[in-house]
Amino acid sequence: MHSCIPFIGLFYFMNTNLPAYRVVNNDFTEPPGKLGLLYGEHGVYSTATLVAAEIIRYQSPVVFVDGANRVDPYYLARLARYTGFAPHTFLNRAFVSRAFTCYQMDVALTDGLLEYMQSVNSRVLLIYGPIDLFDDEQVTMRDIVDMIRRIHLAFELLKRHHISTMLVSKTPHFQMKGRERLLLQFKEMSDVIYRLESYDTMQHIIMEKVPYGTNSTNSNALDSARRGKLVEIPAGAQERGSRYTRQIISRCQTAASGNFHGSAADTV
Amino acid sequence: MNSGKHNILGWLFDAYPVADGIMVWLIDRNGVKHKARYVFQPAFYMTLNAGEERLLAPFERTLPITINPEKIFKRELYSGKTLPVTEIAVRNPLEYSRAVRLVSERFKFYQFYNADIKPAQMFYYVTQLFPLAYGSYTVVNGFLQSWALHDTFDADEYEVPPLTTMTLTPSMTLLAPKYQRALELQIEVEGRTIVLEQDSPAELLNGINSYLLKYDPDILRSHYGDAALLPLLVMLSRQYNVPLHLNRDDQAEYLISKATSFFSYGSIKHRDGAFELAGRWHLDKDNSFIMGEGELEGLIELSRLSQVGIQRQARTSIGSALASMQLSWAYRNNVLVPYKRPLKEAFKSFSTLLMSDRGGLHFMPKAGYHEQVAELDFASMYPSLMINHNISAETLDCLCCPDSKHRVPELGYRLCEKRIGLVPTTLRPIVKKRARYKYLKKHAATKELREKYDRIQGALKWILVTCFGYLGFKKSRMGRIEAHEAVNAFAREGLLKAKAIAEEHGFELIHAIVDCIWLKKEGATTQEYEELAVKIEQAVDVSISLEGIYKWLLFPASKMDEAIPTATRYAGTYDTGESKIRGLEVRRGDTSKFVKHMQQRMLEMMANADSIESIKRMVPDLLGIVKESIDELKSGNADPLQLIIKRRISRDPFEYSNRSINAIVSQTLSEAGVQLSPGEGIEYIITDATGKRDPMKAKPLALYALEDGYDAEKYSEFVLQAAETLLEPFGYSVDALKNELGLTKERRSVMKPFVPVTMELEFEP
Repeated sequence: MHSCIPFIGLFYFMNTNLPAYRVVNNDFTEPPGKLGLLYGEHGVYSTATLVAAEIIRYQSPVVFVDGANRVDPYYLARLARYTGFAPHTFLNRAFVSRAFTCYQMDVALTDGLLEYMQSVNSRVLLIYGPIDLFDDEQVTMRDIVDMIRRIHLAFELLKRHHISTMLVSKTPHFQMKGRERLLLQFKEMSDVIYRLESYDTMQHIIMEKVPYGTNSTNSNALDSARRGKLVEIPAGAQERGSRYTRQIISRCQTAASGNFHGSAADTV
Repeated sequence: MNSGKHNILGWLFDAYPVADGIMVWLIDRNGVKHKARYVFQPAFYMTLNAGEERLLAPFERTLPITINPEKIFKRELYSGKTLPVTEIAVRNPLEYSRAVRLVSERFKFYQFYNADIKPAQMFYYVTQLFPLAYGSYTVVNGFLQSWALHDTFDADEYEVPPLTTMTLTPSMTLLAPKYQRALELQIEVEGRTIVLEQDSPAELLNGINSYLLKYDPDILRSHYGDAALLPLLVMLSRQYNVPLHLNRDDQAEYLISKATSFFSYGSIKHRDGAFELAGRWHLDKDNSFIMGEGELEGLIELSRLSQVGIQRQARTSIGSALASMQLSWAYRNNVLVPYKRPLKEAFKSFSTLLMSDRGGLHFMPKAGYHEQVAELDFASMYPSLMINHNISAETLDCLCCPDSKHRVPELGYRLCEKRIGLVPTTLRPIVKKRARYKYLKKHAATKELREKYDRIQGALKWILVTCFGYLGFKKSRMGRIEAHEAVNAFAREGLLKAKAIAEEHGFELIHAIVDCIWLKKEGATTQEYEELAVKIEQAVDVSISLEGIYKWLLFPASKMDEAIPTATRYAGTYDTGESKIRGLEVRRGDTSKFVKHMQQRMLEMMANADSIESIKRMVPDLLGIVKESIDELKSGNADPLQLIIKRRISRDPFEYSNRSINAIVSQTLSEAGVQLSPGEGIEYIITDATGKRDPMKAKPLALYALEDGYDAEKYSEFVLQAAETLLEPFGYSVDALKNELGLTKERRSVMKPFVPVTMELEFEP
């Protein structure tokens, strides 16, 4: 089995040279039972899919509730191939229910979710676009408050069962007045918050909130220093990153063309 | 209101909620209008035990509600289980929404049923009356007591009362009223057109009132009545304290709703607000999709079938009509419709998602011209599949048939074998009715009748067109994405079967799009194609027929990459001489009339060709048409009104961050005081597409003056692109056309058009 990691289009690294999504993964899934929020302008969904691929590969199946219509099985299949796995091994370990309205999101999260996750032995839930769906003029603020309360209770239940949940959202730009505080509410609920930003032609992850307290035995000793700060990229990293990325992609391509696990029928 | 008992033989004309029930208007056979009150209490339902009912009891003191002490047994839509529910009736229909809101705030985690249906709608469902229902109505002391209908909502043949119409329009209709500084109104009634003098607003209002009182029209038609005219008149009426008698019922309020912008199939759309009247219909053709498609006949047909009031139906989407038909079915069958608790999508693996999240099947054609190709179309394929396979939200993976043998191909979803679904039940009569009207149209004795039946079948067609999309529409009460996927899976299977059968019989598949296939076989006759259609129909169980055999058929290449054909753009001429054109510039809403006209002329000439070879021989003449058009543009003789381009803006004018023409035009209009919302249309003429000489690039039609000219180079480019669509297979790309026509690169110039003597165009800045 090949252990190379795909870095397609990703240039964010920790000062440890760990790819950022791995750091996200470490903070978020260990110990289990956390609620995380990953948000930003661009690339949040592909970053989240990378996190999901890591989890599928090393830990457990992943369940998605997709309110943004951004779940991309083709991308996950590509990630499987780059890491030397047959696509179906990843695709059969990822599960999704799509929600097109906040009411559907509410039902998906509050009606039988825990039982489903247990039935597929999943300990990680990724929720795409949980905030944007509430920006709907046909939904009253009163309904939203009720739904968020129910959803919060559902998150608490998942936490008690050691299931980690990651909320993934583009930075919301609300059309409806009075809905701006929803992001703040979700932030308050979350134990760990990552903000993805793009500048200097690169993407950066800023850790807004790091999990401390009852649930945290964070494996990364730099946590306290990192809190609220930019995850810095060391001098020359961009150049090094590019070289490194090319090298990795080249290795992946070699792996994909040669010792590929799976048959042609698995190709997506 | 008259006292005593009256039997009125006539039609139910209008119904709207009032404080103690529903006010109905009846029109008898002599055309006399009767107003009557019907005692009606809209009700919603909850699942409560005795203790919970006691918690609800205090609401009876603060709200006009009555809790029915008896449990009522009704069937839940999705599970099919019969539930004991508590009925909460609202004594004042005008308070219905407030009552539901306050109760639902107190009982947050409870399931409500039938709680988001408007009282006027519920009145139609509970009574099973419908707009223009003909029957004998008994009115006692001004109250509608009973009725005996001589009519059904799905009747094929029905009589409509003689309706009087008055039309209120701005005198100048080239521009929408919002673009006009001063409005002059005109009224058309009984064949006369009267321009209203407007020395003062009070005089104007009195003038309108006098015509309304004199003619008492049943229908007030308007241009831009919803968006501009009626709100403006009401504002003036308040400002100058002159009562306006737009309503026939003087005690009722106007029913006004706001304009909205919404996303539909990836683009933003705008819908004007509604301005509905009481006891009289206000119909604004500019704010009614169905009036545009089926005129009044189509609207009445849809309104009767869906049991939605005429004014509401004129303004809502076809999907709402379908939803209303489903709700009515639910009431007829004692079924509860859950409130704000939609079905979630069942979890599925990504592998299953890959299989299921696909649309209809396309086989791409080879770009260029083809000869002797036959087109076979499945008739109402998607509705037929829904009916044949019992596809509906509640019949998919139902709890009652865990071992169902009826499965969706590729996906394996189960389909119910015990219950007929809500969607098939609703669609079946529509398919039948449409077939009947098509038959009547074919055998109509007069042109008028033929047109009438065509309008009605056209309106019904739109229900069938939208029913599939509505199944997956996120806000559909009874939609479900898996049902949507199931229909696609059956359609793909059907198309693959059709392809296999055709190939088995020696036909070559040229192209296929979802429910339509193009085939070719050397020397094949009409009879052979028809025999093939029968075989396909037997295998797929959906009716398919030969649309025709093309003498020639063009699939143009993509504008982005000439190696790629396009699936939904084609033009051809059948051997009957009739042409069929889809997706080309001539059919597009964003092409100027000038370019459309040029391409239309080319296509008309090509329609005479019997083969590709004869089109080839026509090329010099076709190039002549192109040259003529370009010469006209460059000489400044082109009519600016033919150069108008229509587009929709996708955001608020000042949210644009670029300097695109849409941004410039919408910002210019905003600065001139015209309020625009995302999804609204704009009209402009390009004056300098490069923006080098004139940073304005284009002028909105409302601010255009003849001396602004037009960008002849840009419009020439449009002409060449439209010509390229047809001539590219013969090697005439835009560049080749330029060479051929001797169009060298020139300095761009703004053409000041020639002003015809008869033309008067003056717009206020």
